[in-house]
Amino acid sequence: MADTLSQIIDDLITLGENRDELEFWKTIYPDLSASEQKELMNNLENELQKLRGISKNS
Amino acid sequence: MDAQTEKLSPKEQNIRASTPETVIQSFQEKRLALWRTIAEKMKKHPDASKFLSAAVNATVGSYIKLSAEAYKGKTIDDQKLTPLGRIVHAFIVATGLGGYALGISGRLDLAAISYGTSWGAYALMYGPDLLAPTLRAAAIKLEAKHAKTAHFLMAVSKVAETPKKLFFAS
Repeated sequence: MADTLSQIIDDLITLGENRDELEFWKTIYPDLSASEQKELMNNLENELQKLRGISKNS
Repeated sequence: MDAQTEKLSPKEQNIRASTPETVIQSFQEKRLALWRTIAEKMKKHPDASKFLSAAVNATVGSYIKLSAEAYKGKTIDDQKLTPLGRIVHAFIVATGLGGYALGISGRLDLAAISYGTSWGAYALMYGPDLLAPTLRAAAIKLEAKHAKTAHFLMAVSKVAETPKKLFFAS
């Protein structure tokens, strides 16, 4: 999961997301509850999907 | 809507209407809402609250001379914060750190009250000198019994150690 999170974050940063904010989430991720981790991952994955879609269409 | 766009599915139309900036902002807002929930849980934790309060009050003595005038026109709401700045600010608000400073001196004059309510703003503006050591002090106290909460505080203290320019959008 740590590798997946890192990869998603790296991809988001490539697409323009804020590095400092996402690095913060990577730091605290292990201390989040299971539901918080799931919510965060859903957030990041959905955002990545949307940004990739925009990037493909532009 | 042009003819080409009309042929797309609603989902594809939605993607086409969005810009990277609006998408990023939208998802950052959702993460900030999640962070507020997490930070508020910290406030409800009795030991975290106690140690944060003690740590804040330990720093108040050093800054008690600050007057209301020092904060004139410098409220956080007036500043444009970066996503990281919003995380730190949300933490200060959700955990009520600013309110902890009110009780220590027993002073009810304008300067003390302004200082108390502005502690959060001051901590954000001068994070490396004030907020970071305060959070570290609380984290060290919490480590033995509440490691997870201590880790959160350490993570926020590391953010607070970064130059304040990272909190404010230029």
